[in-house]
Amino acid sequence: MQHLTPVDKTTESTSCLIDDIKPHEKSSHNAKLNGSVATLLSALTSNFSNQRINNSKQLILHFINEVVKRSKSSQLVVIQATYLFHQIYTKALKPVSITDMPEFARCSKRVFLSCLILAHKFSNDSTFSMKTWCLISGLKPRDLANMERWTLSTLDYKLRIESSVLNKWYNTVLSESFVSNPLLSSVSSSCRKRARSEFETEPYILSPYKLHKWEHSATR
Amino acid sequence: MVAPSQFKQLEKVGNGTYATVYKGLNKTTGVYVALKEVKLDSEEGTPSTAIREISLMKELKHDNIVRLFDVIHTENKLTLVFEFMDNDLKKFMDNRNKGNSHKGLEMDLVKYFQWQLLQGVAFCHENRILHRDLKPQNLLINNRGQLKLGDFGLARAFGIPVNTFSSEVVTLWYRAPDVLMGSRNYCTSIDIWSCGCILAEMIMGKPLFPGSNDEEQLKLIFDTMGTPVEQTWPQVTQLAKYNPLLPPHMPRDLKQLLQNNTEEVLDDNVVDLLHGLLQLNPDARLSAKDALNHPWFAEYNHAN
Repeated sequence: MQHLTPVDKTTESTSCLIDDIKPHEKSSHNAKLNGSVATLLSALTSNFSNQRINNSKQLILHFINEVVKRSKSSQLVVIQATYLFHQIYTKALKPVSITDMPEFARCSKRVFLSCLILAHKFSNDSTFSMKTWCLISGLKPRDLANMERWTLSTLDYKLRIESSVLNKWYNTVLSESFVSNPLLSSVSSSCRKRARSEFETEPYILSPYKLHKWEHSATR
Repeated sequence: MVAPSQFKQLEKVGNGTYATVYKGLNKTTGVYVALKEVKLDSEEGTPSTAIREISLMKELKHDNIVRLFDVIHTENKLTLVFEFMDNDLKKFMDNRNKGNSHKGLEMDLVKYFQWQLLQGVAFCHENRILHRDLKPQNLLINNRGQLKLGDFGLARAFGIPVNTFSSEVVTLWYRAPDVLMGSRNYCTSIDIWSCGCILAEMIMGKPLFPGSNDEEQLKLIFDTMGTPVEQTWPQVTQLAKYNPLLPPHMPRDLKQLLQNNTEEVLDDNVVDLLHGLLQLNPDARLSAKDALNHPWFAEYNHAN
């Protein structure tokens, strides 16, 4: 990925979510998060698989690992994207029958990527151009733009996620995947608990001091 | 989603940073609307400014915030359908300044506009949204004297921590000194500084700090408000662009400065409010809610 041209020069890859995890633990946590995201995505879309589209967990996980790594997306952005994805397949799509949706909407990877792009654009002041997302994903810019438009209108442009809502969802839906995922069962429960409680204890409104603290820890 | 054909496009009413605004007519209801059109490159996707503006404004339903009615999104064009407003505060003030003379607004009107501005800002902040580009051009007014916040292209949510706050926000003249000195930890106080600049501008009929670059902007601010030191603003010397060679200035008499630029007789209350909004130290600035409870607004507060 030498062609990658990050517009965002801040050290976003460092965690926003769990700021006291030591550097050598970080990659393993990313793996855990990505694993539970893949489990959830696959569960939500396995019915949509066909001869051309395979929503098996292993393929999704590989894809998520790559796009998250290449885009240096923070864990928070990954969680936001997963929340948006979950909204699409559990709420937004319900009134639409499967035959009415475009073929790419059957593909977990494509829709997750669109959600990741939107969460990234919504949360960061400086974000990537579509050309960069095209280098990250290998998809054509025009396809990415169409997928983004479909995702926006399916979500009714509601990208704002209240942190209280996201916290609750993370604890009840996403972190459950940690438990139900046999591949990740070796993960120590104390680590899981810490990840959860760190997220829970963050106050909903951050004072300037808090914001400062976040920034500081993120650039450490 | 509505069909584009539902709206008749009328005259152009403005050019935004990334969009063109037309007056439009809803053919079904006969109601005038503002159509903000963003041309889309089919390979570039939707600009993040538009994404933020839509997702944030969809949630903000308040009398002092322009309503977003609908979104029409095609491959080549994104149209935001807004409530129609007759004018903006900048044009409104310009129309009163014929030639080189500067004439502020009547104090009753200044008070009514400032009250509405602070109501809109307080609502944004309650909903954990920073506007980040408050200036007269973005304050829309209608013929009934209502004032509403518009253009949320630079706005952002602040409930969730992110480490990529930009210091390239707010048009220079309305930008807070902490942001000018490179602070990225700003919060709601960034909008409050702008509210102070706008209040002074309505009184004087001309901008309070019309700098032409970052350095001059800070100089103008410090000339009037005094040069900050650690005693008045703890940690100021730690800011990225803090300049230790700045000449020390004592604060000037704000009341005198304003009085020299208006025919209205100023009372001490409005000057006190202005001081609260224009505190150099962001932590010392009033909140929008506090400002609304200021004695200058007693007549509105007693009415409720």
